[in-house]
Amino acid sequence: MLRKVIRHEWRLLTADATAWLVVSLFAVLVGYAIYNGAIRVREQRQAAAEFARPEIDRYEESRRQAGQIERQKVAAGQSLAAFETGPRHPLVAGFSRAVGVAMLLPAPLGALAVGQSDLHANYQKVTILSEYDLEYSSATEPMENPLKLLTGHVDLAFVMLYLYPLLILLLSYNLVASEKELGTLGMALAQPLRLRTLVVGKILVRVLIILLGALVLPVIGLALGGADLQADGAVARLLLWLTAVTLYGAFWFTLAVWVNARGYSAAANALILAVCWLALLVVVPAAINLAATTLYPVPSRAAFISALRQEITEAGNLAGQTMKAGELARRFFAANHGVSEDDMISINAMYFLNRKLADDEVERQARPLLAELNRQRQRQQRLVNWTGYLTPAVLAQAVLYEAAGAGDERYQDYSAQVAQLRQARREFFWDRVFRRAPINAADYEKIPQFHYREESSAALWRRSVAPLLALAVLAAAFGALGLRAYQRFPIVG
Amino acid sequence: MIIRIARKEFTEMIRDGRFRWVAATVFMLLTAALLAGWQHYRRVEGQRAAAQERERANWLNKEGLIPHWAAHFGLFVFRPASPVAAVDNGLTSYLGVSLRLEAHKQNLAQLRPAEDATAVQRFGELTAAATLQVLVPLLIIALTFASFAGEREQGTLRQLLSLGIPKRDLALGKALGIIGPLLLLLLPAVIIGVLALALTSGLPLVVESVPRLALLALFYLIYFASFVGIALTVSAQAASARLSLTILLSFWFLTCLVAPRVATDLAKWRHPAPTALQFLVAIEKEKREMAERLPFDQRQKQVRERLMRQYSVTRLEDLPENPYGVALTEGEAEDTKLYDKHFNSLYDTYERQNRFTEMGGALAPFLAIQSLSMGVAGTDFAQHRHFAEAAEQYRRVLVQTMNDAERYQRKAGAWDFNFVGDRQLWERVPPFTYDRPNLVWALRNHTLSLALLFGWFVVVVTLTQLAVARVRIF
Repeated sequence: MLRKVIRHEWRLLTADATAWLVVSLFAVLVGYAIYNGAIRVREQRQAAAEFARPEIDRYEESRRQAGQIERQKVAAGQSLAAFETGPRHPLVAGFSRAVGVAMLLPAPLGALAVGQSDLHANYQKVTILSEYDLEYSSATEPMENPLKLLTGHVDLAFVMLYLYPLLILLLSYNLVASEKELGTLGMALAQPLRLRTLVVGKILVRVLIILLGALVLPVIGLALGGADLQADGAVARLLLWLTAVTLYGAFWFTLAVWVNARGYSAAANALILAVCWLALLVVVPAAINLAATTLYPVPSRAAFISALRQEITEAGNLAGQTMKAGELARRFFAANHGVSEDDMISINAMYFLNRKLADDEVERQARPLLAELNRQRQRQQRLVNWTGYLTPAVLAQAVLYEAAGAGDERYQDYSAQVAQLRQARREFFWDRVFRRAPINAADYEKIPQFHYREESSAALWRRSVAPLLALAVLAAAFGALGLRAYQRFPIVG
Repeated sequence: MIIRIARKEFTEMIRDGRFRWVAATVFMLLTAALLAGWQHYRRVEGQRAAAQERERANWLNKEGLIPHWAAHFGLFVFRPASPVAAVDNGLTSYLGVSLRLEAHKQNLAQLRPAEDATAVQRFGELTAAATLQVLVPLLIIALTFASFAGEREQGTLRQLLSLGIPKRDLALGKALGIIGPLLLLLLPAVIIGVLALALTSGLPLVVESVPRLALLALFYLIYFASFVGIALTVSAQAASARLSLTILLSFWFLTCLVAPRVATDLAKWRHPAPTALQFLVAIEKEKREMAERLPFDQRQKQVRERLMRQYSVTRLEDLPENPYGVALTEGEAEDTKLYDKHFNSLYDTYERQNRFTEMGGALAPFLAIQSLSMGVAGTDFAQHRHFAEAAEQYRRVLVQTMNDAERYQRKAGAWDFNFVGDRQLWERVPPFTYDRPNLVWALRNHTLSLALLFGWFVVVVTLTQLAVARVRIF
């Protein structure tokens, strides 16, 4: 019987011009979103390559020059231990000749969502200086018309979060309501057919059509858009995305069934479902955001910068900003690190040593300021994580961004890796400065470089389990409620 | 008669339990958004003022720097917010709050508050403006979609018209009957907002804000009236209440959620802007070429020779001005020209994009009110640019003052290691002050949106009259 219902319903739907219109509109938007995403990813990769090229060239050139100098020195019978300003000087290499380039490239499925990636600085040069050295800080914030940032992008995440539920509701607000109004429902149920079978059949047809559009189209689009599905973790991410889309869709379907089962008129169903959509997608998320920013306001960056600058001013005054040793340097030498003022002057390192000592001082003072800022952000995030259970939209967004690598976690992971690299490079170069050892051509290989380690798929899944589970529970609950309510469904009147 | 119809609609609505629920929700959201916006403004503005003062102290407290290094050390300025931002936060979350002013280069404002927020913000912020722009139209649709179509389905429309009521009066009465309860909802929120403003801030802010708030109220009223007209038109012509609702909801969804995204996409495509890297790389390239054409050493040498000829001296130490300072000044002028070119071109591109987006207001009234509202609230791009340009003028004063010290105070001849700047010199740079542009200036940037908003109103009023004159009775 179920098959008969499905076949009949299929005929009805395919004969319905509105259904065709809505489904094709959806397909067009999916295509547009994926096209947009593919272009963005390509542009980002190009920009990254452009950003890195001069630094890579400079690195190669410096290594070549260092080799040349060494050969000349050997030929002239000079010691290789001595060095002058140039590619063999650890400070010169660390500050300009062999700068580290740390880039966050789009994740394998980056074309699916822009997420927060249009806000975070994802290219930076890592030199021998501390990240608190504002004068040479080089993190490049992505540039975009602020109006575009405010309105948001048409990416697949947008289509899935907003349009996909709308499509589901549009096709499902009237399962049997108008058949009841017309009186044909009673006729149909006079046949050997259970109401539940009828409803399930009707829903299944819609699930088939919509899931086909929501799951298959994007995969085809991705493949056509040139996304590398063989990349590490791509399949796990894709599965994560598809699971989220399926469960999110299941929620809206079961919600529609439940509302339908209350036995209101088709118009009333439409209005109720529209209000649900509005509440869950517009009002509740905005209210959550307002609550998070009002309850746990992040201190203004203006305050942070001015406080940091105060530390910089004071440390700078203490360090002195000349070629001679300042107060901090004198303390440093007195603490007996095996380095003397003459050592540093002899290799022209005094200016940078003053600077480094000031930076270290600033870092010590600024760390608590930054920690406070991050604490507030974490509190906000925690609040969002908990209140997110109020709406499937926030749950789904988290997982979709995660799958596309456009969320905050990936960026934080990247930042942590950059910080590690900075630490490693500072140790590498300063160690040579203090030992007054040159960077030979062979040493260029040993300079720590940035190799972004993508988070493991297991970590992504681990973070996504709770929201996915919540979506599943919601869908199951509404489904069960709906089917039970259909037992008491008034078939006439 | 009009009044009587309006009163009937009004009473019906007030007695409708659903209306009361929805209205209460919208009222709560609006009030919460206003109060939170106001609190946010006060906190951020307080922190900004303190930060600017502290940064001034940093500038004055530094020691042992030669004047030109002090110009490199530079100064940060922070963008002040307008109090009306409490109503419409506009682009604020997506504009950098801090601008570094330093020698040789201009910078873009950095550190957008959005970077410190969670991903939920991408669903949109709950501000008074968002409530008024997005939610109230939906409320209007819910109240109006059945006004003709519903009466027709109940059969009361025929009765009503058989009484000989002019259709115009009927339409006007129904419109007033919807706007009435709406005002009942919005007025208290406005009063709460103005009171909050008046109680917590000084007279100058109140004087600045009240005309802006009044103008905002007017614009939003016109926006709402347009929506009422659209809804009445559709309701009068749609075959059924259900169809009327479907059409209106689709219109709402397309104007409020899809149009902004698509319009900004098209604007980007029509007026492409460089990416951050392209922008920086282009500047760096020209700077490198400039430096290769005339390295700084070379420039100094040329200036030295020129000055010695000009003052007819043979010894460097006899020069009344220091060639180093002169060379810095001349180099700075070239840098400034270079940066001006790139920054103006970037800002112009963004403004062209924004104007293109505004043109979308012809199809989606949301775009017109969004742009106007931001403009009046002082949170649009034009006013951000105004600030950035004021900061740039200040940067020139700062760098010039330092370069003048190198030029006139440093002795020419052998480098004097002991010549460093002191507090007296730092104080010669006045504190940074910024005057926000006035309301007329702000509005001039949005004449297109203004015209479109009024255009919508006029067209919709005409359409409503036509539609109601030919209302479907069966």
